[in-house]
Amino acid sequence: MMHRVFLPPLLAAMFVTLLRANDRQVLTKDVVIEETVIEDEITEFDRDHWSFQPIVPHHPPTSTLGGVDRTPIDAFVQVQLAKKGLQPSKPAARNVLLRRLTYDLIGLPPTLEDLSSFEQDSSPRAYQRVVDWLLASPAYGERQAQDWLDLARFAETDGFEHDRVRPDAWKYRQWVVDAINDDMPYDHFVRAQLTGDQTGRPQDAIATMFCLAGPDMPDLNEQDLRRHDKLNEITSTIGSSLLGLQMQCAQCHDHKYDPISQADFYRLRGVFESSIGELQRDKPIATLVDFAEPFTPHVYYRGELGNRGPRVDAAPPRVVCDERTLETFDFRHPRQAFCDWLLSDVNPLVSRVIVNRVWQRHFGKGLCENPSDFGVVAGGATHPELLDYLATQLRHGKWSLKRLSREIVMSAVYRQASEPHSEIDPENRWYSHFPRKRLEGELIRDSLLFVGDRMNAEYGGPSVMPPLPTELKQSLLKGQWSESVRQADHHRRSIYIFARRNLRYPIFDVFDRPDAGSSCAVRGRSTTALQSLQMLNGDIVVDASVSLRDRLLRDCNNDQAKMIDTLFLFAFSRHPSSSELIRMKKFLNGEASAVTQSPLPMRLLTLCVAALNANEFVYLD
Amino acid sequence: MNAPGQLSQTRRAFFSSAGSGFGAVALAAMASKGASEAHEPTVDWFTPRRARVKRVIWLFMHGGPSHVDLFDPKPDLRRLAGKPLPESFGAIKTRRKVATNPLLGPLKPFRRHGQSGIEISDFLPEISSHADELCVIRSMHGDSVNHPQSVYQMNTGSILMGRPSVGSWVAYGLGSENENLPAFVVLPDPAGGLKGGPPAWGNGFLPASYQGVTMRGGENPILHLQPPSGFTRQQQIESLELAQFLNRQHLESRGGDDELNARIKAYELAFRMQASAPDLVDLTQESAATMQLYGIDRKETRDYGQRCLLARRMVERGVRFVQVYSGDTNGWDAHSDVLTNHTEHCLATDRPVGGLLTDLKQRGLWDDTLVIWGGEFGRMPMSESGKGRDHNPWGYTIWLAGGGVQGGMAHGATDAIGLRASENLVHIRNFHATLLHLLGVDHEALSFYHNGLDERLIGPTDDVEIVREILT
Repeated sequence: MMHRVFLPPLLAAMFVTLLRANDRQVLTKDVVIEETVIEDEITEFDRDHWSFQPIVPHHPPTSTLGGVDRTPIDAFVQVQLAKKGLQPSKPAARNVLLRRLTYDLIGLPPTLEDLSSFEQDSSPRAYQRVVDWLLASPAYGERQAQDWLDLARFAETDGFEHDRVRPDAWKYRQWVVDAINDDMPYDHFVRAQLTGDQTGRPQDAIATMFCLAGPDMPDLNEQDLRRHDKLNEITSTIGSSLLGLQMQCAQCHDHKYDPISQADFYRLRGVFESSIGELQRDKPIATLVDFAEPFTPHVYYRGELGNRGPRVDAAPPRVVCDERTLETFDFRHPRQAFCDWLLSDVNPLVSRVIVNRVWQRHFGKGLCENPSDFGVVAGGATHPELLDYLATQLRHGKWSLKRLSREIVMSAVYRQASEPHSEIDPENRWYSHFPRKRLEGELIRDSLLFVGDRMNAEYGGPSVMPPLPTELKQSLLKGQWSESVRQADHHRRSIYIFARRNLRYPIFDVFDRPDAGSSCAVRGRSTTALQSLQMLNGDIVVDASVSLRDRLLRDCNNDQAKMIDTLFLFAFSRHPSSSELIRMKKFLNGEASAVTQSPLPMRLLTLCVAALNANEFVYLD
Repeated sequence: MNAPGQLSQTRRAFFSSAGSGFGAVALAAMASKGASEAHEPTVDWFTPRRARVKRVIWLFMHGGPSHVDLFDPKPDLRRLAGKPLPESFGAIKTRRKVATNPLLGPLKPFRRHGQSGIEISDFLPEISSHADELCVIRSMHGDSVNHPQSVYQMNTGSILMGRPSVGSWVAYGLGSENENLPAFVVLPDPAGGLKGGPPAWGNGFLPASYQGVTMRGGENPILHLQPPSGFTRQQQIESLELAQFLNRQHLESRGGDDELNARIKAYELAFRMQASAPDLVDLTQESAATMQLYGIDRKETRDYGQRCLLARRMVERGVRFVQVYSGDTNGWDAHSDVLTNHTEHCLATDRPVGGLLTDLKQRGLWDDTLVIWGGEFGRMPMSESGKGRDHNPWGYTIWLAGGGVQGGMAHGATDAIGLRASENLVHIRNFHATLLHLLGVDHEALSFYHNGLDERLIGPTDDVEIVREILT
């Protein structure tokens, strides 16, 4: 019979030194002396924070506004608007709405045919039909996947010095695209990414690359340090991406604000401790694997590998657990047990966090403005009851994200115009109008290919490498960017462009694509002159303009007004105003151009470049 | 708007038309948005009267120059050459298991220079002639024996990938002095291959407008600066005018959205940069004497000389933070033969660096500019492969020069053989804090709210100190 004696760190350390054991564990024949964790108890006050409280299945309030288009979401939003003395906006114009929706769901502008058929279809179900059709499009997953890949700090190389290629990384990306297209229930989606290696089907293991998608330095001398860093990085990522808890500071010390102790961090890390074995130098790690010899989780003081503290058992953070969860947590199968807890009804965080992210996808901002931080200093939801309502709906709806998205885009708040009409709420916290959004760099590139009719819409497969400016290529090591041989591959959708961690593709880079160094929940939205230079002078824009110009020349039968009209439809999904038409016509027939001698095709090209550089091309109303 | 037929054909005319009607509104918007135009910092971390310098030129010797062969004289190392590391030095962590290799003596003699008598080796005769202007820190230390981690740490304060670089922090903290140029410019070695790559000058979680903008000499100093072939300059001017016409119509019907407004201004800035950037890198404006001063007249010093001269032209125009990298993917990383490697790299950089120091003085830029010279770490006293040396982050040298720092000073020391920093230790964090301090920035206050934390360059702890001894 073995006895465990737990001592506070100092005393334990004295024994350890005394008996020259190096493990902060002292073994006599049948007694183990161990250092105990010292941490603050979780108090009622700690648990009282809104995000740790159970989800309340709120019923939509009775709306003061009637109408067939009003959904439960609108009822929640309306209550807040009314309190602030605000009114919702009128519905967006049909072409504006279709452009917004099409970009939002599949990341492309509507075609001219889509535009005209939608504008002509006056049936009440016309909008819903478009929504369902877009949700079912394979392009839907191609558009939505990048958000998740940002959270997963996904790239296809290691980073650091050698930035070596991870040959299977594209398969993880494809798994994400497919899962979204198949509307894999979110609980399955999460479970697969934490335990896919344990299903018995080898093809499922790739999903666990989610855990390992961050930077890595396989050539590190100290492979135990590599493993240590990796585990800590996984723990932080799981905390922020799934739980909305910023845990990374707790790897060194108890969290300053949130009730997360250092031991909590290492308990969560304990869930993954035995899923990464001893690492080998220069050997990549692509998926989680359980090792026969389990590793014992420990606290590491100051986060340092050389400063090992007491052992802990794998467990979720205490503040979101009841006693029973902790007592019954099966730490022999910690990942399964963790998923069971994560996705169970007692966990209030996971569903709140994901519905907030989906809301952010559609409105450009979350109901909680810090989507990966639901801790005590980050600020709560503008519409807490709506958040809980959506979280409840998600669970009742079998965790279907498409269903959630559908409910959101069917709401009147989503379908309203983007024009501010009141001074009361300049930040638009209460959604009195639709928040204007800017396209991401990936979508700007896709749109350029699309309007030039050059997009290769092939679905899935390994990544492609379109040409890179020589100056950038020179900055890489030899062979790090070998242009795809097949010309058609240069025109694949942006999601399929090879994601090198140390060099983001230029147009993505300049438009705020995150660096895949850590999980990213909200992209920056900077406005810089470098973006303007990229749009003015990048081959990609001029090439698109040339194709668009040729398309107009071909289709418009020498009719200049029609050329302008069609250009506006392609670039902005609308007809030109009369003043725009006058100005553009003047330019096109040579009256307003300094290069009057230049032939029409040249002037039309100038006009196309202008349209693709206009704000309206990259901003969605 | 201009009447048809009177369309502007000059840049000047373009500005007056493109900017009409929105100037004041847009400027106000820019200040609050912190976009890449000039703005007066009104933040609590900046105290203008405390600023000792306005600008920084960082000469980054990529690969890790050998302090014991350049700036840190070690007679004991010469004496012990060929012998193993004495046991008294204890266990040492190395990259390439060189701990038990025989010690390698300094490869060139050291001499005292100037009135200060600072000792510098014969590898660097030109820099030596500036000894009385240098503030040599011989007790630098960092945390990793690996290149990329150390490149990241020197540049961002962290051995992990993805944190904002010092230049980005400075650009964020102080803004730009020249509205036509970026605040933070990087002049990489044209041979490329920095270990760790562009994340070394990345903006991390700071807004992208603060990232280091890579510039080069020649026709195309910035990516996408000029219209591609098949699209003339005149076409571009016209397309911009049309786009801005559309933008103004778009904005008018949308009640003055700050962001849309900022994008209009960004196009104007881009347009101005197309003129100002080539002008900036046009070295034909410089005299023959200047070309000679920087070694541009000689093949072996031409490249680094040109880039040092570019750095001077940039700080002259108000660029806040310029990094000039020396060394391709191997650079100063002398694993197999320090003598050959350092002879080559010292030759390529010594005159340009000396020329830069002279030039800053003669142009009155000295007092407002801080020059930093150093790599991501130094090198081991033990030999590797006979005549080479392995990485050493535990003790090494950098030097500073220019405003706010004492010239002719050697601060701190390594142990008898240059293995570890042993006196007045300066961790990279403290160096960063000192750098911010010289710019008038409170290193503890400079922060950015990200994911629930006030992130800082110097990290979360309160134990980071300014190296006050080196300040004037």
